[in-house]
Amino acid sequence: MGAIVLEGVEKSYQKKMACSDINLSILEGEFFTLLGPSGCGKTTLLRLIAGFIKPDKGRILLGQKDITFLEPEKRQVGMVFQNYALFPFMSVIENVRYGLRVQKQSQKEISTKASQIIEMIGLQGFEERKVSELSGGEQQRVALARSLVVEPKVLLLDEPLSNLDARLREKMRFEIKNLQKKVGITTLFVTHDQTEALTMSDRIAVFNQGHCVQVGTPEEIYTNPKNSFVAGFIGDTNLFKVKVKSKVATLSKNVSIPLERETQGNYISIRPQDIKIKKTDDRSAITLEGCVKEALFNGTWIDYVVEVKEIDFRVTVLNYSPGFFKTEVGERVFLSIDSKCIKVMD
Amino acid sequence: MRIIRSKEKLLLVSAGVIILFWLLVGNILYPALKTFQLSLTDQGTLSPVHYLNILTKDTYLIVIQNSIVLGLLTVIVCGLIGTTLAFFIHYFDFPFKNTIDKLLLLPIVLPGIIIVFSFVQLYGESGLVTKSLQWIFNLKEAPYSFSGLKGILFVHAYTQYVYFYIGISIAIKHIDYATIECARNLGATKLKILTSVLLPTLAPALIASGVITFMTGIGSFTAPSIIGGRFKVLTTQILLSKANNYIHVAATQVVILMSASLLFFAVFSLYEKRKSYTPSVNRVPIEPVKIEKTVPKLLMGMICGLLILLILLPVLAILMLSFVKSGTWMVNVFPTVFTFENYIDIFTRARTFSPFANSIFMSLLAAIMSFCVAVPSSFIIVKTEMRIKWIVGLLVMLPWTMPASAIAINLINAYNEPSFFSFNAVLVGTYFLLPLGYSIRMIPIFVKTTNISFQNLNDTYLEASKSLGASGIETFRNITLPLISPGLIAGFLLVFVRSIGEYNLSAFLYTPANRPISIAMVNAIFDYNIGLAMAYGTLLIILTASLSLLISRLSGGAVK
Repeated sequence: MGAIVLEGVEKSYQKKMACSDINLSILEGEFFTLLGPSGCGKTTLLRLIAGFIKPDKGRILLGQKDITFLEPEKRQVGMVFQNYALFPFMSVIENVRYGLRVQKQSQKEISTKASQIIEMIGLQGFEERKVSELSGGEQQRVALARSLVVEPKVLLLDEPLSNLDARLREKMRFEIKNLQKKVGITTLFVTHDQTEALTMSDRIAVFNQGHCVQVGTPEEIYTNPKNSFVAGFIGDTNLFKVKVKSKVATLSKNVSIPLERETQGNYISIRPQDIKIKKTDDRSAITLEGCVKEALFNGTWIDYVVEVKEIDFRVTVLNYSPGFFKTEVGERVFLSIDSKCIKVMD
Repeated sequence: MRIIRSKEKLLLVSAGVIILFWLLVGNILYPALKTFQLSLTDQGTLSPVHYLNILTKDTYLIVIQNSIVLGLLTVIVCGLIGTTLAFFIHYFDFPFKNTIDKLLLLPIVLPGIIIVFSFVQLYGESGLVTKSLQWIFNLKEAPYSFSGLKGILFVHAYTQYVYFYIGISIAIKHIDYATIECARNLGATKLKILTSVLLPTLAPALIASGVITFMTGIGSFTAPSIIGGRFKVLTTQILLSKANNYIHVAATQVVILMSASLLFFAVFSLYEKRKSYTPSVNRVPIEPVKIEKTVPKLLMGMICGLLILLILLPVLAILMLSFVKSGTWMVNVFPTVFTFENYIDIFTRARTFSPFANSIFMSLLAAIMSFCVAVPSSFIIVKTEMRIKWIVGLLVMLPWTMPASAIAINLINAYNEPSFFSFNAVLVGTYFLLPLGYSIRMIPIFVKTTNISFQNLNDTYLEASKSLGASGIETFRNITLPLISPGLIAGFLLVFVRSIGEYNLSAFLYTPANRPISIAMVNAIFDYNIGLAMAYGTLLIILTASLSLLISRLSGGAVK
């Protein structure tokens, strides 16, 4: 039995399905991510769990308890909002104490717990500051502290990193993950950023148009995407619409790729790093001849676009890797692909 | 709208909305329509006779023409002064810049009647400045005449430049300096930059300020009625028609005044829409120029000094004259005998104290009444998805398009007979009508400040509170109230402050039972009791200035 269980949850707004037949079970202590493009229903699901909206159908269980129609304030579900929603007229410490205060805990308890959590998130010395005097990252930490101090059963994070700049976002990724591990709290994280999802999560549920498309560990989802949407959404890939017939995927009139075994599907996905660039035809199983159209140097990597009979392949090569050679735009090269790396899907 | 869970709640909300509509329609729309109806009827039948009468007789026509001329000239004069001041303050960097910036807003805070009287005492025929100039240059007669159009314009220039000053100041802060550099980089001359970059950037602000200045100018009553002399305008003629019991004529004049005001508003709103743009987000602000050389620095200091003097002079004059013993200042250039008598008089004699008490009480009443209408209206406009919210928005903004004289006449027309909206009572001649007028005049501004409060009340704050375990009541007490109350209190005080020295509505609607401070001031002046009038004025200044400070502090806290 999971810490949070969703059974056939549905919610629609003015005939538009925001969540349709969602069944998920999130385990105790898990860092679970809802990933998808904006408008895919992930935030709706989070708000259903928080209790700000009620589902049209289905049940939501927290622990063993049915909380589907319980008022939000009685759920013991902590939430960190996208804009943090720190109360602007309260200081840092007042924000942190707020949840304890409405629980009517004793003064002594309130101050011990508040200072403990302030210490844990490293905001000592900031207690009396106004919220508006804090940087984005600091506000983020206060929001986390405010939710965690009341010891909720689960923590919901609604795109908490989207308002931070790139460098800070990277730092906060680790901080949040570490804090979650330290506290051991079941966490539900909503994001549209695949890197955040891949680096932070124990498991990911990929959402598209109100449906939960695939659930799995980051590795599973990356290596075995269930369909073209997941493949395209997670990580870079070469996604081609193909016709599959007797172990051959036909990309166009002139380009076709042999497959390892007999399968069905409408798309193939090949990750750019799974394609090798060779100077000469080494007669491996799959070799395509083409012309280098673009080369983008970004330090660690070089991204090439190689045109094979009017079809563009994106190829990523690790700089200075063994067997690395640098090609120039306009050069003729051979692409070699390991057939294991070709995924066929719907 | 929030989900209404039970039938009782739905019933309660509907009842509230119906009461609100009853108040809005009864006090704003119905009186205006009543005036319109009166203007179109003659002895009980539909007839355009009043319009034909007014639009064909020269004596009436000249008044309409005067009003429009006054409005337009006010826009031009105030536009020049306000824009120049805004550029002066924001383009240069000099000491006390922020203080001067704040001081420049003072004229809009003070009640109009105070400014008019202080100007009479300073620049009038026997004013302090006039007499000083006569004395210095040994002139036999006053070097200028402070009455008629010139005098009114002078007062308007002093008070209404603030609209342009505020509008242009905000626009200047939104200028992206990079666009100016870009124009230079593309080879534009300085003149070209002014006409092709700077003016289009400022255009929406100029137009918006122009509209409000015109509407205030055309609706202005205080200055024309006290120093207008033979220069008659619609607002003062409306009072005259009303006093002579030509109520149909008054109604027709009100309709004409409002039409002129609305026409201008409509034309310019259209124009404004065409000219508006969204300012760029990553703009580079203009760096104020620091003046280093001695001569310009001195010049700058002199300009600033002069500005401060001009702004503070009226206040200082009133303060000084409030200590003049009555009947002692007739011949001399400057008063010589000073006393506390005037203040002692006000606070010890019932007859002189009652206007002060009346004004405070009526302003409080007005603030409470507009609170009851503005807060629910604003809530509906900002926080709900009700289908009727645009009607509410329209009704509460309607008084903004009405000059005070129009509001007064509308109320008289609506309530000089028993009406459904007044529980069949006749309100004309009662104590209650004047505070009602005050509150109606201020509803648009109150709604605007309240809207900001409700917009600040982001739903995520309430959700955050609930997710932390706070109940609905706890959330309301701990989160909602602290978030909205500064704005609501500021709005409340604003109504109070703007009503306490109000003269225009007062002149139309006061009765012996509720004679307000502004009317008492005018009466005292006509009794040559200048000291007493100025003591009233000083009390008004102290009240309005200190409350205004409180308001700006409160609304500063409400707006993040």
